[in-house]
Amino acid sequence: MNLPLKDITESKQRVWPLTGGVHPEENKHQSTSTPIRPAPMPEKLTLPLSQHAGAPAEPIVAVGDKVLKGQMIAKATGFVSVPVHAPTSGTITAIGKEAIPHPSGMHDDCITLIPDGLDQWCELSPVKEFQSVNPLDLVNLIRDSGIAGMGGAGFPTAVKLSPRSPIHTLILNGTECEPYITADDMLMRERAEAIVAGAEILKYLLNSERCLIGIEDNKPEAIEAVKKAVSQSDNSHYIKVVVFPTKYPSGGEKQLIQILTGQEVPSGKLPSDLGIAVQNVGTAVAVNDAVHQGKPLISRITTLTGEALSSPGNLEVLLGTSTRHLLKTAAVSDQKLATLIMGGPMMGFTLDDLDVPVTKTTNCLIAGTREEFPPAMPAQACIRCGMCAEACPASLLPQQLYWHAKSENHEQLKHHNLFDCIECGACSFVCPSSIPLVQYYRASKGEIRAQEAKHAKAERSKVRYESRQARLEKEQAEKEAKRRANAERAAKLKAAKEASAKQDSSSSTTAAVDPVQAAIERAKAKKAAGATASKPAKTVLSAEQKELKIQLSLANAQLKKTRRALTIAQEKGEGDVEKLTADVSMLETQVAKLQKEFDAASATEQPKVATPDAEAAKKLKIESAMAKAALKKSERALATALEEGNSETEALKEAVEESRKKAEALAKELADATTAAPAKPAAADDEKKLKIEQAMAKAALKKAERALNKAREEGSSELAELEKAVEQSQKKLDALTPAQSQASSTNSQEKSSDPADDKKLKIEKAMAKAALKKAERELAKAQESGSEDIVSLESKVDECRKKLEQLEEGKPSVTVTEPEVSKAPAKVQAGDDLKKLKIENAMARAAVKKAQRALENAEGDTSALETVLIEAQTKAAEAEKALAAGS
Amino acid sequence: MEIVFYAIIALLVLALVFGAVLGFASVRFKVEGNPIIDQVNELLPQTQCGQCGFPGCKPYAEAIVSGESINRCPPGGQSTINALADLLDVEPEPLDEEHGAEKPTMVAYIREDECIGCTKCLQACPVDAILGAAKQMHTVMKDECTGCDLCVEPCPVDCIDMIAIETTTRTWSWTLPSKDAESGLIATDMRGQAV
Repeated sequence: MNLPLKDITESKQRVWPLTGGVHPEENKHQSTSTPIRPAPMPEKLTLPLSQHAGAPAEPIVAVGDKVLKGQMIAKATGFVSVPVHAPTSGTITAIGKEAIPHPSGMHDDCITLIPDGLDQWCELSPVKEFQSVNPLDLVNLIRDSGIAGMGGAGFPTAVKLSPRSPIHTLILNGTECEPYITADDMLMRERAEAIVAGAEILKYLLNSERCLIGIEDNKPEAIEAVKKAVSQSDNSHYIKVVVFPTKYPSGGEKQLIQILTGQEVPSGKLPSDLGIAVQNVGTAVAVNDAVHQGKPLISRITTLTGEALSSPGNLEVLLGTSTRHLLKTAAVSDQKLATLIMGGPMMGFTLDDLDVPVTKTTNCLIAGTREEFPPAMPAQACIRCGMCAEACPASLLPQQLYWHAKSENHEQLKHHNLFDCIECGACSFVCPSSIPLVQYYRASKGEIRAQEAKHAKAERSKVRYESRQARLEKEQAEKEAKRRANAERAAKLKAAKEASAKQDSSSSTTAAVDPVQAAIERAKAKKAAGATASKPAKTVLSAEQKELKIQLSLANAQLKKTRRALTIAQEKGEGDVEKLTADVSMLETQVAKLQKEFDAASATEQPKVATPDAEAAKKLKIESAMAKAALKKSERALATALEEGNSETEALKEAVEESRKKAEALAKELADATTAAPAKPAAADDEKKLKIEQAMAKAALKKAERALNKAREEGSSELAELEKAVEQSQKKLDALTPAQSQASSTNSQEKSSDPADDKKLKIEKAMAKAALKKAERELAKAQESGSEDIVSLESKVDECRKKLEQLEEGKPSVTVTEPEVSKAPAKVQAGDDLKKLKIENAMARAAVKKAQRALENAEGDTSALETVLIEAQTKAAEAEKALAAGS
Repeated sequence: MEIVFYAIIALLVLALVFGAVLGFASVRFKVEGNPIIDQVNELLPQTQCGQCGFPGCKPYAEAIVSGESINRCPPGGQSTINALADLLDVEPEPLDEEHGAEKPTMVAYIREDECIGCTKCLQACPVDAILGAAKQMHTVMKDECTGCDLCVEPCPVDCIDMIAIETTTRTWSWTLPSKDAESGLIATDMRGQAV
């Protein structure tokens, strides 16, 4: 394939043929007869912030600012972005959405500048000796000059001048293969020196070995001029002008590389990967102007052509000039104008709006007549002729792509390298069925890109969702661990308590085993109790307690020792086992006695000493709890005894009875103590206690009920007893409930001036509202589904509403009192009030909105909803008024 | 006779060898979990909106693999249904309207001066796309919002709007030529008709 063509020019540089390609009618002569002329100053310049590929620029001027020609008015945002400069001096009048040249016809952010007519330059800082400047600084200068590719794609030049891999060949693209366009042709004819000077700067920046200027052979004048300029420059040895046969689309970047070097840029790679950089000749001139004159990119050469214009030609146009102004300059005939194309006829797009501005990439405007650009023929069925495949410069299979695009088979499209399509339009041009093939490819590319973006976002959402789930789980686990730790600690405490309780009970059980001993013990305990009671009530009884304690521990130690001795003796079968056993039992009784004494001492002495104190109540409580525990224990013992059919049930019953009595007495005492306690701090405490008691009573009731149920199931005989217990519990609970409610009501009365109360009210209100909302929703649902319980739901809604109203009535009184309470910090309060008012206002508005929505969605009878809406509206209006008054 | 004996032995040895290899492979290269679930999950739009009736995309993927119908995902729309049908080799069915209609992608927007800082929407967001703290104004990270709608309901002051994402010049794309443009008629027959 890669056979060199015969030399058709004097150039000795070898060229390679282009794959595919077409020969559309050139139509270039219309616009080359006159030299480049400057376009007259327009009345208004509209400068889009996104005239290039990449991130849009960011305005750095404000409306009303006066700017000078060449002043930066929008800065680059990021690496792949370029700034925008003022094309002339004047005033910024608007920053906002305006029509821009885009195939969608959509509007985008623009800066509008009204020229003042002075055309006054800002201070320019040209670089005298660019070879002495650091290449990086030069690249930054080029970026700050706002230079983007002038060929049509508008890729920021500074990015292309910072390649990742070394560049050995710089190619200047002067191909201009599209029909009609002659901007580069005229530029090469008239400003060849600037092109060569720009090439020198680019070569210096890229540090390339050679520079090729590629020009099609249909521009003999341009070839001549550039060759002359090259020969006159000092660098003619490495700049070469290469001429090759005219064929569309030789000017494509990858196609030009293939023609000039024979190398094909692999799919998905960039020319810089091959060590090649391609720049448009217009870009070279812009770089030259920026470096040697310090001028930013503020104008470009645009071809004005087409049969609707009576004076076509190339104009030096300020960026931002509207196409309407340019067409007027070129004497457009409105009758003839049928199609206005921006760009070439192959790759350009039609404009519907004449007010779109010229941008950095606008190389041509074609004002065509109906005869020149007839409406597209209706597409016919594909006849599989294969002409598109022959014409394709990228060696793709347009026909296959067409089928897959039509069936939206994106996998196959990617498989057939859709993204290597340069959208040159050669396939559509040759298609005998006039199928708009390129449109299929563009649409499919867009669709695939959108789906890929969607997929990437889904992937990100998934990651975020999963990390959130993980976080929630972790939090849950932490909470669980904490809870478990707490439970464990509680269990340990309980176990410890039980163990100590067991020790106590074990001593008592040993006593119980021997009735005689028990009797002795009881007698002794009584005696001891009597003794301590008869003793004069000492104020400091702790000494006696201490003594008792010491004795007790001593006795305990001795008991332990003897026991150990006994076990040793028993094991060895020697010594006086009997004596030891007697000793042990004696010691046991002694210990038990001491224990009793100790207990009695603390029991008798404490109430007397500490009655006025809160401590007394505490102790009483502990005692009563202990008594209760004892009662329970004895009950349990009784139960086991009953189960086992033990003979001691009678005694145990008695014990149970006794302990119950004791517990009751203690409870009474406790109640008396708590009620008698004169220095009770606040009703709140009482309320709390009452509540706790109530809860306990409830729990007891529940337990009793459960027991009763069980008993019933099992057909137990104790039914009556249990029932009685349940009743009792119920009564207790009943008695407690009014007390509690009373307490709470008095409490709340006391506290009504509290801000906390206000908060509570609010919360209640919010809850009531939520309930109302829910009820309404349910009602709506019910109405939709035609359910039967609409009536009940309606009454529910009414109830909720009434409650809410009540609450609302209650609220103002509170809020009214507030300012009175705190007049001094009124200012701070005012802010808060305002905030509250705002919130209320927002909520009222939300209510209105919701009501409206409901009304919109409702079918049939809407009168009720309407009244609701009106109510909500009045409420909202009131809230707003209040807010206005407040602020 | 002997040859038959040898053949049987050879086959037996081969069977044992392959059995051992397969057994080893099944243990060594065991696939954790059901890979189909991940593939299905990959196709779902990950809005985590719960419109399908499951608490997220993964649970729905699991349900699909265990036999749930594939047409319950409104955010994914017909394209997701088609992809799922393709993956699971079943007939694609139209979207079940019961779970909602296919809507353009939305993004939540908080009217910030109305926000009271209740954090309810923060807790509702399945992808942590709302930024804020108690008594502080909240805002939505637009790029992370999946448009799932879940934050709208909990808002007590109704200050969250769902806004359709607008097409900009950057996201705009050409559309496929309309199908009826290719009616198959001869061009000359079309003359006189509105093109």
